[in-house]
Amino acid sequence: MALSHENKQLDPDEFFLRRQKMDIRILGTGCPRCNEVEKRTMNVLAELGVAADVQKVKDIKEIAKYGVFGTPGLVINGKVKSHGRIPSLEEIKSWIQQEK
Amino acid sequence: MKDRWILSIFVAVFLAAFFIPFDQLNVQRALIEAFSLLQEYAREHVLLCLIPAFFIAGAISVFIKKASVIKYFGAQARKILSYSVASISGSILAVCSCTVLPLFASIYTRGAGIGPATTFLYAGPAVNVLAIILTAKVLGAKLGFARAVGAIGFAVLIGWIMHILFEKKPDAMDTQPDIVVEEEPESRPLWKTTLYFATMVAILVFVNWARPGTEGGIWAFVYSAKWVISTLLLLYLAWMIFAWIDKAERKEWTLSTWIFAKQIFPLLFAGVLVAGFLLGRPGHEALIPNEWVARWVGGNGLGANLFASVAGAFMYFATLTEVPILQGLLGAGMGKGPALALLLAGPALSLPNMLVIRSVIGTKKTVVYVLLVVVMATISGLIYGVIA
Repeated sequence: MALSHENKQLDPDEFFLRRQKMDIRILGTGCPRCNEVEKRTMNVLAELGVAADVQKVKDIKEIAKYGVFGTPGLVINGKVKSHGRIPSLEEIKSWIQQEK
Repeated sequence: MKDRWILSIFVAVFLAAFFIPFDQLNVQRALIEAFSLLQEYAREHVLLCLIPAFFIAGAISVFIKKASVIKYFGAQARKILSYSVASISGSILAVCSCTVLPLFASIYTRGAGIGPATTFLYAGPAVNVLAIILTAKVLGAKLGFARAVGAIGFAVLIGWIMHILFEKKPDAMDTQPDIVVEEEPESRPLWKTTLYFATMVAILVFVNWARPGTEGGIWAFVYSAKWVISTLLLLYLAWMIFAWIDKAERKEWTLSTWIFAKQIFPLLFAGVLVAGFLLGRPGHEALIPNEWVARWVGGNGLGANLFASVAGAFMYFATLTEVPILQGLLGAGMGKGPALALLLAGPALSLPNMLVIRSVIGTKKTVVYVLLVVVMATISGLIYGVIA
């Protein structure tokens, strides 16, 4: 049962109560720039050996709920880390280490 | 890409190969036109116009910090500023049209509301740097300028009308948390960024300097010296790139440029082939007879402008493909007014993006928005047709 909760859309407060592993959302409608952010995030996760639940958010109404301006956006544990640009590998690394 | 998509492409190619009557003369002529237009683009527009334009677009997405612009889209921002910023900021926020819709949804649901959101939605595709540069290069500076001015002016008007018709109660807005404005550290002073962009734009302008109609005078002098000026500017740019920008940023710049090119070039070239096949180069007839074009969108009548607006509103144009299509239509006898109407209504709307817009703001607002776009594009076409 615990597993099935993880795929549900949780608001940030509820999320922290139930948090089991790092939750990463990549906001983007599927444009190449968003894929680049996903690729970098995956590379950093693999390099640091951190387990995370990575989901892509493609629906623009869902994206708008995060209050971001511009895609691609990167959300880690409910916190918007970057939007409207492709963050560098170093930035992603430091955010993931912060949230670990 | 999903296998289903690959299969449907295979089927489409197969059906085309099976049924197109290649032995007919008019089809052969249209094919030659398609490749002649492609050659014209390859020879005239790729090296000196599109490639520099892609580097500028890549630079915009890497070097310009967007937080300073985004704060004007917040719910607390002053409305008059929201509208002005929404109408012109597409040039730095929507370098490619795929980013317009998510931004629109955010401004609508979390920021300044329906007015600035629709202003941005309408102006975004028309003021993006790639579109302005290619429109001005291929279709002429006058139409490029009219496109930008028409889009900015009418975007504010459309946004304002949408705001009056569908204004939300203020308390309903307050329950939504405001937008996130990310603090990004400035990596270099503003004057350096400005100088850097000005140099890139200047290079683009000088390498494309057209031969003036008359001999002598300042324009002819600039024309004769354009390679010297461009080379000097290029050397200066190279110095800035190595002196002011660190290695990581240079890599990001190249990567974004490449991502834009990878995304836009194949579609643009497909669009050029289709436009050439159907409409031919200016002065050459291809598959669609010139009389048809002249009958539907020739001259500057209300009917021609309205038809161009409606057709543009429903048709889907991949980024930049509106330019070769318009070039073909103009060459086949389309009026200047209807051309502007199509340029204004076309990239701003399409059947697929109407469906996405509807999912965000609902059916009623979408219908009103589409009607406003069609009406405004028609009016701008009529006005431009008279003065051009």
